[in-house]
Amino acid sequence: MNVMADKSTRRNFLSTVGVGVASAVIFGVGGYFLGSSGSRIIERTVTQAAQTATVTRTQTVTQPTTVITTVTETAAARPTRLVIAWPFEIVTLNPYRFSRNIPVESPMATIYDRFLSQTRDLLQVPGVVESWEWGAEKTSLDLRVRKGIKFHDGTELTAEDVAFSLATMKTPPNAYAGVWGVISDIQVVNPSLVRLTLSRFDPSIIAWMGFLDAFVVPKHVWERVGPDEFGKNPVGSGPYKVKSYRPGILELERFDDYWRGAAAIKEVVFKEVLDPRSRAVEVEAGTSDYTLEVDINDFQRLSSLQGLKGVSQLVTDVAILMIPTYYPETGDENVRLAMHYAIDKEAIINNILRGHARVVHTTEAPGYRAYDPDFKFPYDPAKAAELLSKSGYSKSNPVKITVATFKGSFPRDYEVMQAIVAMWAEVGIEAQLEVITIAQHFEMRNTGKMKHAHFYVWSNATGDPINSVGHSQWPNSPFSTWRGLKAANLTDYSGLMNQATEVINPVFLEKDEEKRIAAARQAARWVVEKGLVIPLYQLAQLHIMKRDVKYDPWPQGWVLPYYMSY
Amino acid sequence: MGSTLLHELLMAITSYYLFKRILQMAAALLGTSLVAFLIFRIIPGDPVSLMVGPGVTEEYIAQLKAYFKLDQPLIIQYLYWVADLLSLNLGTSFRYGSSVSSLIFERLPATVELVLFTLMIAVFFGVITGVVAAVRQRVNTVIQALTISGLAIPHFLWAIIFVIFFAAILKMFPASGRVDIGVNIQTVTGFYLIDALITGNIDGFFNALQHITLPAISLAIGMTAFIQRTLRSSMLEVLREDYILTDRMKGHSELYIIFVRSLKNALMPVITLTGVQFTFLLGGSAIVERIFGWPGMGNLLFTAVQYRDYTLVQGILMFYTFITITVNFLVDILYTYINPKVEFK
Repeated sequence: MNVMADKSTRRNFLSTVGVGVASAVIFGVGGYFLGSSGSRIIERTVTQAAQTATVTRTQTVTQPTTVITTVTETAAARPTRLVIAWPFEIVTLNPYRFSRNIPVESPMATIYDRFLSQTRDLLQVPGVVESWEWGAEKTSLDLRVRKGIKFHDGTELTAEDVAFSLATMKTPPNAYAGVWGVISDIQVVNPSLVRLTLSRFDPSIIAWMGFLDAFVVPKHVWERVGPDEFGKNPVGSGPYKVKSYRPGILELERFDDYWRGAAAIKEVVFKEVLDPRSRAVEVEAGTSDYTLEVDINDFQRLSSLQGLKGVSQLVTDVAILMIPTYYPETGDENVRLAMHYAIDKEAIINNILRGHARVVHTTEAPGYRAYDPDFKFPYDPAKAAELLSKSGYSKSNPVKITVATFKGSFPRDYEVMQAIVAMWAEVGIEAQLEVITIAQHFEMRNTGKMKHAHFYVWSNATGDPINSVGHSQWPNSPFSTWRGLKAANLTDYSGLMNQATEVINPVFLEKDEEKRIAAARQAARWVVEKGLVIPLYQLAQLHIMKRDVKYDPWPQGWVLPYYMSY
Repeated sequence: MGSTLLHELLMAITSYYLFKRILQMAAALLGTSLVAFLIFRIIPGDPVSLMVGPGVTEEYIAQLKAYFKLDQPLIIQYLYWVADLLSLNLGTSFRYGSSVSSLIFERLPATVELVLFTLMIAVFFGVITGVVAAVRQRVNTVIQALTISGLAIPHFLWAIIFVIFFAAILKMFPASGRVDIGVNIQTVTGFYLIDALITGNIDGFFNALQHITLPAISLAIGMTAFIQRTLRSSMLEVLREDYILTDRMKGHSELYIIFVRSLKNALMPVITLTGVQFTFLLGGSAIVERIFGWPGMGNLLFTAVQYRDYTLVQGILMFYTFITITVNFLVDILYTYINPKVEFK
């Protein structure tokens, strides 16, 4: 018994000691972290507030009391770095490689210059190309290259670089080679003049020169290092040059010789934070100065916090319902129009999107060239019910359709469609929702396997109707619902395909710009009146930034640090 | 210790067992290549439509399909890809135009570092709590309660809770990234913690440690619970063995019996579990990587799937399979080191 008691005591003692030692180690390590992290938060604040970040960093870790002094000394200094919690992956900085939506290209728009610039009201204005002139029959185009523009390596940008960039862009598999394929010949006439020959008239070519991948790269660097290496260590002529690039973080520093004048902020960092909650935390914790595409609830909460502000900017993205006519139900114009009349867009915007959107009545939002302020498509459930009854449908005998939607690809997309389904049910349309991915949407659209209606968001930062009513509705476009109908040889129950082609043709073919825009306005109106598309609302992009950051977000959706300041 | 392990490796290499394993590995790789190839071609989603923007013509789309050989019959596409694989070429990403292997190796170190750190935490706490739960019934009740919550709450939820609580509210840890902006760690291995130590960058080391802590703990909680439960039941079995009774009769101390005599044998299933979890975490950390803005493979795979970047998805899956097979092989070898009764056959 004594032996057992002895053993028990020793065991207890040893286990107590063991647990004690383990606890000490755990809490010691934890305590060390807590201590160091506490000072590091201050350090970050100082780093962002001060111009002498490196010195401050060392002081913070070793002498926490110095921090207070440093903060006091440097509080008035203007911050030199801006960190953007970036919602997209940055995998390559090769500007020609992949298709993207508009905000994704912001880092590239910071490193490179486009041939043409764009104003906030979507107009193309001189950029690297300081003037342009159409030739006879509008099948050639002279581009005069601005003198005095330097690349980040100090070399001068010339017509050779412009020609080389265009030639590279039109080479498959670069993302938009199909667009630039219309250029059949590129000729450098002299060091500041490039002449393009087009295989056919393309009115959107000017708009494309200030859009998506229309960036100028230095020929000599590209040819020396090749596209892959160039994508890792790019050289542009934009307002910022690459300081370092590693997965997840792109650090840029101001290019002092920028031809428009040096940017206000010395360093800009794009930090990949793909999760919207984490982006909200980034700005809330002060580790980032700016972010976008946060959840609507987070936007409202963060906007009210001291030290932060929120800006809701309407952008050139329009939510629509695409309606293929290869089903008897949606081939019926009464049904298509009833679907539109039954939707209370204002209610959706106010109650689901909390006001962060604007009603649109055609595919052309305000600011687009073919926007028609006089055309309104009203919310009229009585009219919807009347139209449905003409086709033999009612609440007791509803028309049954299936609608495809995304869930989480766009702000509250699924909730919006749930509301629409409920509104339809009130007039005699029984809709089943089916959630799909964007990849599935493309596949279904191309192969004639769409549902009766598809929720989609159509972007057109160019403002040119070719890229809105044109490509979304033209039967010859590979992006319209008609593509699948033709590919699968389905029946067009609406009988409108040929008429649609005639109505929309001038958007692509008319050489007189005024007539073209007028025709586009007509076309945009016609497709809505025929119920071939249901325009819902123009989306807003939600930005959160530190209160002392001065920036007016762009309607194109770009985030452009060049226009930011403290 | 090291020489024993080396000896086991050499034995394995010279045995028939290795030959058999290589055949198994080849079969597994072949099977995976078929699945990886077919699965994304069966589910809807046209990569070319996702690659091009507005304004392209049907002719251009056809041209692009021909460029990527997507216009060929599936079997021909597969053979082209396998031929590339055999020459260790994972292909070129449809979306980014860069070589798949360079995309993988750019982002792999971040994921592997996170996974290894997670394993360290999980094994450390899993073993301690597993042993304690096996030998102390009263403590066991508390540990079991914690374990259940660890198992019940998925790791992405822990991640969200941690981000909100420790980063946003308490501001104790950073919300995202591998290091603070402006902290430069010279790349040697790609593992920031190791690189910082190698280059004597102590400040960088602690900065990286701070960043990896929350994502690693988020991933480790569930795994710790698994290890704890596995080890506890294994320990209870071992502690009932005759040789343990003999040890007690001989008067060995309880600590000696637990940590020297029992734990080594009880660890066998834990090793298997750790090997399995390593490979699981490589792919399974994607959501946590996303929440913590961790620039690893998870985000790359996520985007690749989203955009139907066939070659990139296939490359990543093949790479994961290779790692899984290799880790399993190493775990088997480790078995024989831990328990000499186990032999290669």
